Amino acid sequence: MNSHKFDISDEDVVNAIQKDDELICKYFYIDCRSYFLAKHTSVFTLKSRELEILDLFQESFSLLYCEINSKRIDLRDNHIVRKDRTGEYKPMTASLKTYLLSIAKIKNLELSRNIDVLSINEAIIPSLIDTNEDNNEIYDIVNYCVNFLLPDRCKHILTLFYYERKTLDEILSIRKENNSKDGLKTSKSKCMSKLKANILSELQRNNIAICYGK
Amino acid sequence: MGNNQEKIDSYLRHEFNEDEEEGFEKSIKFDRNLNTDFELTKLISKSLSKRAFLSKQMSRWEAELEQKESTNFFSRHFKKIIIVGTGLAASIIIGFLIIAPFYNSDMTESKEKYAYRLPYFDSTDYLANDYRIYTSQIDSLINIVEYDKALSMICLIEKDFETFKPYANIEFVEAGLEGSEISGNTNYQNDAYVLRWRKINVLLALGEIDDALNVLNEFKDEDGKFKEKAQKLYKKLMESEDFE
Repeated sequence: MNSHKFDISDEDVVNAIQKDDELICKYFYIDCRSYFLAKHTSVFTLKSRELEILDLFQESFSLLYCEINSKRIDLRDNHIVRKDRTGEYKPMTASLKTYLLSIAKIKNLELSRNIDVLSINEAIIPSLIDTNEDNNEIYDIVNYCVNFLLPDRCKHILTLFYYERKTLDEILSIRKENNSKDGLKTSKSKCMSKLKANILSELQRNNIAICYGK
Repeated sequence: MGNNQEKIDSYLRHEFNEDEEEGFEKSIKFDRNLNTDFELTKLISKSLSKRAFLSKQMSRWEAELEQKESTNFFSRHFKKIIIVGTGLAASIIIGFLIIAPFYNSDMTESKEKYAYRLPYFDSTDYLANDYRIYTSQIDSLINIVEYDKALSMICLIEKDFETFKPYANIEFVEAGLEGSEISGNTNYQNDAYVLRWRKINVLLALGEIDDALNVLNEFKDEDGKFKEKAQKLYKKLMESEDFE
């Protein structure tokens, strides 16, 4: 499959991810995968196994996907732009694949330091200043906080709970790291509280008010 | 938030009975904090779902890649086998062609198929640089067992050397370079001698024993670096029962 040569530009990729075009996403994934595996030595500070490399790639790809999907990376006049810390869209100088590598480098540093949260880095994390109280804008912030600020263990617990619809007992049997149901319940609660606090903080920082209900 | 979250989770996971569900729906209309938490939880759930969905997609793509690679495994390795096999076969053939002449027995008893082990020919035997392009080609032809072609070329060059007036030498003489003429002649004489030794050996390799003996008969008495070898060969040939 690596032998497929599709002439897909970064602009096509941005469009495809935002429109959930699976075919182009798939080929972009494969293209990035080949590139990543070829370049992984520059990403890894320590020699790692293939499975770990693939995990790192998938995690990094997922973050890149999220940035595009949340329109933090977007198209303006058919040029790729990215929100910087001031909230302004600036043209991206790097290609998406290069950007993916920089995400992986930071993610790898985070893993090697055994830090649970991806360090906030100007190169990766854009700020949000949209004041439009549009639900999509709020979702973008939620999406950003889930993907970039939520620790991996929390992502795992919350995904099992909200997406897989597992019960706490089932999650306990999957996650050997949690010793008791009460401990798991506390962990889940703390993860959720911290995530919401992060979301509210980001919303506040960007002057976005949530006005649900009457 | 903790208590609210439990209610929200139970509602979203359909763990409430009908009454509890109705009660919760009424609450979110009036309780702004509960409503905010509820909406945020829905968005978090959506984001986590999207993330999980992408993760599943990636797993599927990986599985497809693996399947495709295993399908291509045979064809890919088949190509490798063909390439490696062809390379090996070529190496064996070339190796055989190079080594074969040296591994033949010195002489066999069969007159029709006279097998002769050619000695090693050193290209530094030749001295005439202007004829090196031909002489080196003769040695190359011998090495790849193209004895017929080697013999033809020897016969062609031989004529030039017999007169000791090859074209290059004539040019030297015309240019008044007498020293070069002398030196040229010495080189041609040397190369003519070397070529005759090659000729004898090639004739033997081709089974042309009589012709080889004719040349060798004179050659064995000539002074030169192959004199000793030539005499031994002549003696051996004459002692052979086939020639009695």
